[in-house]
Amino acid sequence: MEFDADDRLVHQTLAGDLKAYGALVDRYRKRVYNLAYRMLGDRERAEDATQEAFIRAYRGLRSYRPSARFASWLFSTTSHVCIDHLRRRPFAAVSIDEPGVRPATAEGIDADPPAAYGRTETQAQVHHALGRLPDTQRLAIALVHLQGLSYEDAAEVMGCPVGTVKSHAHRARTTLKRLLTPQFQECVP
Amino acid sequence: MTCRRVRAELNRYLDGDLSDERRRGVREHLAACVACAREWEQLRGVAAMLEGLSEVEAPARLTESVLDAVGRERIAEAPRQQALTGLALAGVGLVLSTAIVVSLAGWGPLDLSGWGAWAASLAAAGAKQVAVAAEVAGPVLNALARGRSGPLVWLLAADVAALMAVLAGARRLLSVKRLRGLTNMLAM
Ligand SMILES: [Zn+2]
Repeated sequence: MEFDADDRLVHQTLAGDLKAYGALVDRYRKRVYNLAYRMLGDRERAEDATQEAFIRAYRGLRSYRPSARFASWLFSTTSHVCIDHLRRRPFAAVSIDEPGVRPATAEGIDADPPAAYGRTETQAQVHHALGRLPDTQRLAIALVHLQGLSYEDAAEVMGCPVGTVKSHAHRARTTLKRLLTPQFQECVP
Repeated sequence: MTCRRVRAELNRYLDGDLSDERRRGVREHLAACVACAREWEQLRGVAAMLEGLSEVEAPARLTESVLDAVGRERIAEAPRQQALTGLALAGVGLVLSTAIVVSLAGWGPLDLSGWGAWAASLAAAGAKQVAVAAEVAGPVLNALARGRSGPLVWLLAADVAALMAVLAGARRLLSVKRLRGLTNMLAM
């Protein structure tokens, strides 16, 4: 249903309707931005990358085939843009830009300040830990755990076999476990 | 199942990727082994932390800035489109007028001025679209119109104009946009 609507908007865009592309950007702006944010680390770069991804997608719209899902195709473009950015400069979380420091007001965080502090603190820790993963592992985690994609869809986005995505995700989770719970570290008997 | 084996399976256990038999094996081990159970809780905790990351709000100005950039590109594409049309028209004119010149020269004084005029108008239309070519072709055509104007001379003039248009159009296309743009257009 949602995908049919995407394809219709793609079709209208190709026919020269710029408003249709605006509607596509509105639909996916938040998801693309969040993917870029977790990949790159800070909001300013995420904004640049999001803009770049949508411009690149527009230019390449003729190569999009409705047999693939528009979302997967767009995330794939976004991933490429992020990887390009990361080649120039690695992941860098700007602490003043963390959700923990400037929590979103819509979340009703003021209702329970100590709990909210703990939660946002954890969020910042997780965000920083993500930055210590290799880029492809972070991408797999961002697609599967943050964007909620199936391993199959994530594989389509990353252009690699499902097994490869799983192994990226497994390694990433094992590393994150070590980074986020160091106090419990023990040798395996 | 050994602890080492169980720990190697925990990620697949989390994904629900194990066969029934393996899953039962892991579950039974976790119920009996405190160390592995703690590992399992930590891994589950990581997945929960990841899924608990809140989404950040995307700046609303993004849509506008994307559309601005994309709209500018579309406007920049328009002259290339015109140049391509000019190029095609001029090309058709060139082919037609050349054919007629050849046939006139070979078969003597046939009255083909109607064809010639058509070819000339095609070439001129092409030339008009390609500004550079129009500047060259215009005066040439005018000068020829004032002087002696047998059909052959007209056709030669049309030929020259069309050739200029094609050359100018091609030059302009290639200089305005790199090859990628050209192939994009041809793919349409
Ligand atoms: Zn054990």
